Amino acid sequence: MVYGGEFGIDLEDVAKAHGITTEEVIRRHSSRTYRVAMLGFLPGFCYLSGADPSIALPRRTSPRLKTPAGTVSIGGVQALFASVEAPSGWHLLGRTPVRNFMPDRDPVFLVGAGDEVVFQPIPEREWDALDRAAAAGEQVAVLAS
Amino acid sequence: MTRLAVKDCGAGTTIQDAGRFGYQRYGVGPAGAMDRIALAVANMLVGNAPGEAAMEFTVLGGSFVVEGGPVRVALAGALADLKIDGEPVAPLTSATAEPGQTIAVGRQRPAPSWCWRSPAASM
Repeated sequence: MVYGGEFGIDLEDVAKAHGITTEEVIRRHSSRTYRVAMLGFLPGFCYLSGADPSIALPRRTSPRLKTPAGTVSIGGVQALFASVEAPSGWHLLGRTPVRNFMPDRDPVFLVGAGDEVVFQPIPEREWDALDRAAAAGEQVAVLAS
Repeated sequence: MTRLAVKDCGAGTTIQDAGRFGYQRYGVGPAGAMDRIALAVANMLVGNAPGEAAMEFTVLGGSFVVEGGPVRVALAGALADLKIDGEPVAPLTSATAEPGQTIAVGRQRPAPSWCWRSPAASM
């Protein structure tokens, strides 16, 4: 996933709220192994347990009508990676090109409840190629069984 | 291509099929028609498979103009008037509307409840 900038517009706010650098937020968020606790709200949305409580932050008082597909966010002590574009009141840390819901792809869903997830920071310059590959239905995440 | 031009309809007018099952674990609820039996009846009256998508009305009906080709319609579920160019279609029967004709579904009585209209062609 790509952290920060236009990919994660709340990364700086999360850092400021905890008095740490954005690099430290990224380190704490990406060094954990999460488990998918459930999917809901929209097809393919994965709600994760195992988030680092030291970067937890209560939901925004003003949600956003639209957040991009693949948004990776935190809300309270939960972490989420989204599939499709959706409204959200959570703090947007970045985006993953992985599309967990593609109705015309086999399989339609890549990640399910009980699966483990880790986030790998990638530079913004790698986004376009990975995003195009994912849109074509190719595997861009390392899926271990 | 056969089309239904929407002249008017209530806010609770949607296209519904028999639902999709086995995907709640991925965040996909079954959805589908409120009354799958009425959906099946309406579909069978026009010669469709029981689970095909049909137009579902909630309380208020609507009116539609047929374009392109004939459409066979039937209404099932709650009590409501089905008319083609003002001529009533008997309850639980199907009738064919020709291009240029208006299919009208009236307000349900008693409200609130659900009813279905299935054109014979997939929606």
